Amino acid sequence: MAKVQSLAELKKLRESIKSSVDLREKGNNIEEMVLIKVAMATCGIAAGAKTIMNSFIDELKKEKIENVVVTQTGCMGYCHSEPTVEITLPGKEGLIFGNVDERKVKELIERYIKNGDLVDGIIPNNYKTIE
Amino acid sequence: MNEIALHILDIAQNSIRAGASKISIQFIKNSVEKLYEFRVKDNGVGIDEQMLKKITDPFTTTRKHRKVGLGLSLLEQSTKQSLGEMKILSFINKGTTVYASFNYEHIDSLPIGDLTSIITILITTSRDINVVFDVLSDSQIFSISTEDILNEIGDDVPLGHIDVISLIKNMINQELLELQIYG
Repeated sequence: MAKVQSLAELKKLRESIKSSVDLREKGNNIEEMVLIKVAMATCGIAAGAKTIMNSFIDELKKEKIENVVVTQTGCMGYCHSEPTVEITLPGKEGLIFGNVDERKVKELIERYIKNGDLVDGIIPNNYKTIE
Repeated sequence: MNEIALHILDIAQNSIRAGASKISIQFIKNSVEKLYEFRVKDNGVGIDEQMLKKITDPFTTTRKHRKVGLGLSLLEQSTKQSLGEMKILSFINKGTTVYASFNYEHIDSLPIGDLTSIITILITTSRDINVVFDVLSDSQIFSISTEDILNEIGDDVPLGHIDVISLIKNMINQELLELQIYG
């Protein structure tokens, strides 16, 4: 199967990544980065997790916050509160926020990610549902 | 679940949970038969025969923390409402393939949805899972994989880095526009 995808495009990608995220020079590594996990199982997807992931990407870009890794995860068992997002600030324990909408994304970035202030909507990690 | 793209994301999550190291996904716009088709193929643990028989039952799941499993049931419903079909082929310890088709001229067919975001999310899932995504539109093909990205970014840039994701997303968006997949 021939690839129509242009290699020049990938080369360009590499150049921009290298210039924009030269992590060694900045002295960053994954442990020093903010980790955002969006739950994306059937429950999360149906509740709009994809939109939430997109707005995280767009907002973080707009706010020029660079030390962030955004990724997806499976069902964490909090189907009643989807979309859920787990945010781990460097050196801290991860917190899970439930019922996240686009306004909440802005609040989370503005208050929790930037300043470390706690925000409403935290799901305690000893919360159990079935049985 | 109101977009085909969301179904693809959902089905691929099953492959991730099956411990697959390689997931190949094809999305096909077949303008001869007027079909949107997709195929998700993995090399995960597979599904045993007993489970296969009742797999589209919404009250069937292997999960422990909830009692329902809606993904495949919803997909079956979505395909049937446009007179398409869903097929599952699975071998224990070899892997599973899920195929689905939608008659896109049927009034009840789902729209493709945001394929760009779905491809981006899936290929940046993990360094350990090579996700290969092909989009075929008539005779044209666009393909991208986790391996392609890793070859470019090397070891020290995290796969989910915000800049990496934005770049990949822009690139995929352009490629899909060229394929004229939406129109």
